[in-house]
Amino acid sequence: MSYAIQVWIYECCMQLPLTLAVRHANIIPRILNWRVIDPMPKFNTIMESIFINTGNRVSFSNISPSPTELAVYDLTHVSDITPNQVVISVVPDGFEDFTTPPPSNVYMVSNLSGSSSAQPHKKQKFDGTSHAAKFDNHDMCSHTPETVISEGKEPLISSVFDNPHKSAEKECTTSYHELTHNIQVQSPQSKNTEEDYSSSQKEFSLLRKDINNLKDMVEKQFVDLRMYMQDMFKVIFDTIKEKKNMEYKGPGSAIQSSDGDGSHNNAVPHNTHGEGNGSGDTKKATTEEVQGVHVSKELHESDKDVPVASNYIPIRNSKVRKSTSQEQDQLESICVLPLSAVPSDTNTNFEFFISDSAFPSQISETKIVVRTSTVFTETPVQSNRLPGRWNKSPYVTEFGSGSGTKVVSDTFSQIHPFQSYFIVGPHPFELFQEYSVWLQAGLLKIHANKKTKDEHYRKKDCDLDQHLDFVVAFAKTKNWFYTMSVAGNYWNAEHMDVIFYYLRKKSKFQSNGNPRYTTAMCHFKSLMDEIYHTYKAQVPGQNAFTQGNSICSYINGFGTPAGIPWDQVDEVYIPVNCKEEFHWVLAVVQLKDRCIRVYDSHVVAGHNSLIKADIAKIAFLLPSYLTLSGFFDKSERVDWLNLEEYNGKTVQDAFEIIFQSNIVQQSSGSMDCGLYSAAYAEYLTDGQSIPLTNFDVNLHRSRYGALLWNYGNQKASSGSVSDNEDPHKPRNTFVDSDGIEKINID
Amino acid sequence: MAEGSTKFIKLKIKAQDDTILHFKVNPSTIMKDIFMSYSSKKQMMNYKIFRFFFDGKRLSPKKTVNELGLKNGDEIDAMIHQDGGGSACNY
Repeated sequence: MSYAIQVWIYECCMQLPLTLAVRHANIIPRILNWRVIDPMPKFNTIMESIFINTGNRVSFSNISPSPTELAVYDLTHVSDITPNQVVISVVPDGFEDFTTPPPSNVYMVSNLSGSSSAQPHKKQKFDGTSHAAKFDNHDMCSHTPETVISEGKEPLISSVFDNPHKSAEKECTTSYHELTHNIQVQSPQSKNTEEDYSSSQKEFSLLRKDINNLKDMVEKQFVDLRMYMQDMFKVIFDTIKEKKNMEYKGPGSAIQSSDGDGSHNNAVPHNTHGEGNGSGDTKKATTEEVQGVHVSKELHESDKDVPVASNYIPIRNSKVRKSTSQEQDQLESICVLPLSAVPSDTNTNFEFFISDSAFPSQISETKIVVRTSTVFTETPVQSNRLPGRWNKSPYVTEFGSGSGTKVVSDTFSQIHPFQSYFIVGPHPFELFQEYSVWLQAGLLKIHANKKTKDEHYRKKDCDLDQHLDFVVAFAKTKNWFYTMSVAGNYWNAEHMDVIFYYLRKKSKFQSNGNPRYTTAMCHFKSLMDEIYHTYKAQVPGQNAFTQGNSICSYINGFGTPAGIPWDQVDEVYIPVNCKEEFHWVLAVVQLKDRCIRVYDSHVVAGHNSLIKADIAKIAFLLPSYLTLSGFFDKSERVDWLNLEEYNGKTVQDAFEIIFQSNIVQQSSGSMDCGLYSAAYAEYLTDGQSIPLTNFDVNLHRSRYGALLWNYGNQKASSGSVSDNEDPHKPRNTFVDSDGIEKINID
Repeated sequence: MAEGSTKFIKLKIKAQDDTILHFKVNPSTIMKDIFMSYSSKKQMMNYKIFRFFFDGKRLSPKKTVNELGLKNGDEIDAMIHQDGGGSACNY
């Protein structure tokens, strides 16, 4: 790890003390070029050599470099350069892309010519500046036209800086010519690609004109720039001389002497060294290395005084390491821009930028984009990994030939089995037919004689294909449906609970969102019976009203699947099982009318008084529990206590009991009372009036059975589980005392 | 096996008459064992005469305590099976 970072730093920093690593090769995975000498460098050493001892001014354009530099150098015409040149100039500088060779050598050529002469480290310094600016651009590059433009200016600036070297004025012009020539070479290419765009030809002719203008302009500017640069050199070298008390004949000779030390690359002189390297970008790096070595040596001799060229290193360093904020702060402090006196001007006003930057097919541009997103992105975007197509089981689970495979929709949206089939019709007779065929299969031949037994099917045919979960009950075997659908079988509490559960669900999830009714489970009446018994018997130690927690839960909508608080509804349908009568009746608590309507399917039996006695228990206890559960406090929807029916009534006054007459009746001994009670409830939930006659018992028996069977099958095959969004019953705190008898089951 | 799963879970089964039986069970106990134990305590030979509900939902006798997600101190309602055919006594 430390090695890697170290080598990387070396690769990208112009200057570091040679005590850390040396270069021993020149190959393309450039990280391999370096051999580490000091595997554990002191932090202070690195900090001092890179960051702290940077007393010299070097212009760094860190975050928004190019406008400033442009402003400084008054190079407004440089902005004529199209992105083509941007690409050319950016790619070859060796810090960007190591995998792809530079596409064009033009810039390298100019660089070569620049370095073929004895270059002072001054020049390198400015090169570094431009590189740093480029890096910054890549860091922050949003690839808007402006940024591309700003990148485009870098090479020119660097070349400009290359040129004003005191002895390299000729090369300055040559390199400049090469650049301009390059521009001219590139222009036709872009013209070819640009044929799609309208009015591009004109613009390009204009562009060429502009480039020629630019050429003139820059040549003019060079005079000032050269003067300025020379002044700068003088100033800097004076200060260096003062500091180090060394003889300085000139930057070029200094470099040669440093090469002559033999510590680097077998003492190749700088010039030949530069020319000897094959590729421009590596050469550039090596020259920078030479600078670094040279300056660091000077540093060494002069008690680690601030070297001039070390000013650049922090920027590069921080680039490579994805600069932290601290380093950026340092950078900003370092970035003394000696040239930034002129305010930035309008360098983005050229109309060519927009069209040129819209070139889609520039390969080199694409490269820039890729590198920015991969290498220089500070916070990589987290990618959501999704299982691919190969991430599947190799075993085929779906066969096209199987006719039995059902296509099941992914989500099972049917809320309750009565969703599209109302009790008044129309009825899905095909489904009924299918259901009856299924129901007949596997019946015991003598099952008619076994009416009292539970088993109606052969053992192997008894099981259901799938486990049908009706939440409040399970249909474990076919017998459950047999009991439901074949005449002469009485319904038990499971059937009633399932139907009333789905009616409740129908109310809760109806479209308008205002449930009109809710239903209770059979358990409700049993509880009421027990409480009433306790109340009447005055069992010592048992308080009937503390016993009624479950009743309060019911009223508040807890402990019931798809439960609705009673204060939200007008009617409550309660299936009432009269134990003595072996009979189901439907009791409808009409909360607004303060009455209980009883729907009895077998009035002729003459058991009205008995049923009334049963219902009276509910009617008597209900006001108390409504009070206990806080029902009357919830007056947001209906102000119950101010209703006319509640006026003058106290908790002691029982609900009125009304026997509903003129409803369809069952035939004696038909065992259909459960069906009738459920059908009454469903008629009422649909807002229908209960018919007086014309109630096909067998149709409705098979209707309930078929709908539940169909619904359960679909639900099971889709793998759906009913949403458990019902509030839980408030849990009683569990008192764990030793006195309670516990049954241990291991 | 995780440490928590070896702990015993205390359950209550509440009858309609509000009498409560306390059970101390293993999380891997099958519910049927609990139901049968409850039925025998209630002098019933067949546990199917009861229906057991937790929060209004039927508890499957084939599943274990853990599978049903029952926690320590949960209260199960036991309901006696009810039938109704329609006034069989009057004819």
